[in-house]
Amino acid sequence: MIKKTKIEVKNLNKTIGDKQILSNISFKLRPEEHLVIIGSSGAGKSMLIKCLLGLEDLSSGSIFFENNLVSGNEDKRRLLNKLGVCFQSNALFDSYKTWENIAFKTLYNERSPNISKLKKLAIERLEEVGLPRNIAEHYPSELSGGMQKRVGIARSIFSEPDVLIFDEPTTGLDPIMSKKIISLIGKIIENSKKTAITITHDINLAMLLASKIILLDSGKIEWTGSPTKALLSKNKLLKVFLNG
Amino acid sequence: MKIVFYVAYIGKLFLIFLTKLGRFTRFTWRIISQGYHGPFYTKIFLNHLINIGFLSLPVVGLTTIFTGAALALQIYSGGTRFNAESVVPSIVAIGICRELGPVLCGLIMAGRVASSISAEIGTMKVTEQIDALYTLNANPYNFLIIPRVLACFISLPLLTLIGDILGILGGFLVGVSTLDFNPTNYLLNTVKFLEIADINSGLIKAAIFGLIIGVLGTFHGLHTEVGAKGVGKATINSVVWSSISVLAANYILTEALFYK
Repeated sequence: MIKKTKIEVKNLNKTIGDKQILSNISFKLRPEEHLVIIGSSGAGKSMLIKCLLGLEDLSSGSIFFENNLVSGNEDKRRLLNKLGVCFQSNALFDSYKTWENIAFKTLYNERSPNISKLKKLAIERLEEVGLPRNIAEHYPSELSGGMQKRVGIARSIFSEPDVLIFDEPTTGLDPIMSKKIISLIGKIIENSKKTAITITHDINLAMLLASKIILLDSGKIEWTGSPTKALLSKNKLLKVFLNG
Repeated sequence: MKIVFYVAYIGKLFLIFLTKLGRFTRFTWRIISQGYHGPFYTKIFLNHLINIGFLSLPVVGLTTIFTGAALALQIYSGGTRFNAESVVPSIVAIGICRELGPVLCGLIMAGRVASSISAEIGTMKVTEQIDALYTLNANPYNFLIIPRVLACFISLPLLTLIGDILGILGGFLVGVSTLDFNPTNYLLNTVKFLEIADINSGLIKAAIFGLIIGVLGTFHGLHTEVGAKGVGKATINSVVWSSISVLAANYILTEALFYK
């Protein structure tokens, strides 16, 4: 049976002022696929994700979720309900406790949320990402960078979304913590069989976790293919990434 | 050539002004429309009411009590020139309720609240917390903006009312202790000449100042540019524009309320 396309981006263009940030981006993502978008700083990776999340309007092009066009605000809202996002800067809310950050989506979108049940679920997620349950009552500022990253990941998987998005998950972490985060993301994707998109400039992450790689350069798709194909590719920029 | 340069420069400034005006209008419209559609986060609103209103009480109280005291001294020293010392209680009361109470509260809140609102929201913007709110299906307008604007709108008249009482008390204390007024006469003169309209007009002014401070504080916070410098700039802009707008609105409202 042919699997339905989970996310499709068609001829996406983004212009700010006179500057073309993204040009003619197209790709398809099937269920359980893990797309890793790599590229150097300023290549347009974060803008692509912002467009996908509806945080930036598209200049032209279209986005489909499960073959349905995402156009109005209601469509965007529906799409966001099915996405779990882990931000580069973690984006944890300083004035809320760790468990409130994790359970935020349900805590503030339900009319009368069951606090004790949500807290229990949040603690379960904390343990899933390898954090002790006692930090549930701590505030984000009391946690280390690696712990905050894990809390960000816990928040992204809390409501069991269809698609997980990780924006530069290893940026700002030391090599040991980076490895731990990469293996955690791999474990989450493997266990949950979720579709995922990761943005990174870390080629190791891409080679280890991706089922599909897109190399962005100056807002254009420079190369696309599987990690195995990447090793055989003669693309100069890709080689630069692969050779460090 | 020089004329062309100046015309181009003026044109550029005008375009920047129009862009900012458009952004502000869109922002204000979104507050109204999102406020209408909801949801309304009551718990968050009550938290802001405490932070913005209750926690501003000490600074507002101290400012108005000292201003009332100083005002009594000034009026007394001016009044002695034409044997009108007896007007001290009534002028202190009217001056505080109509003008000094709301304006001082407005300026204090512009400094204390507009800056903290814009710094808080600005920091959230540069650390992607606003983006995170969108992705977690919590509209930043409902979650961040509307509770703060409403808290300012409600707490400023309440603070002003307390400020009015404390300002009159400041005048009373100086009047009785330094200027040898009879306490009973001082209070009787205060009540005799003070009208309900004097108090109401001050409270109307304060409510509008609250709205201005809330809207400008959140506007500058949400439109913070990248980085710590951007947050600093947004904070300064929010205080400067709130203060100027409070003073300008005070003039317009005074004219509207008292010179019909």
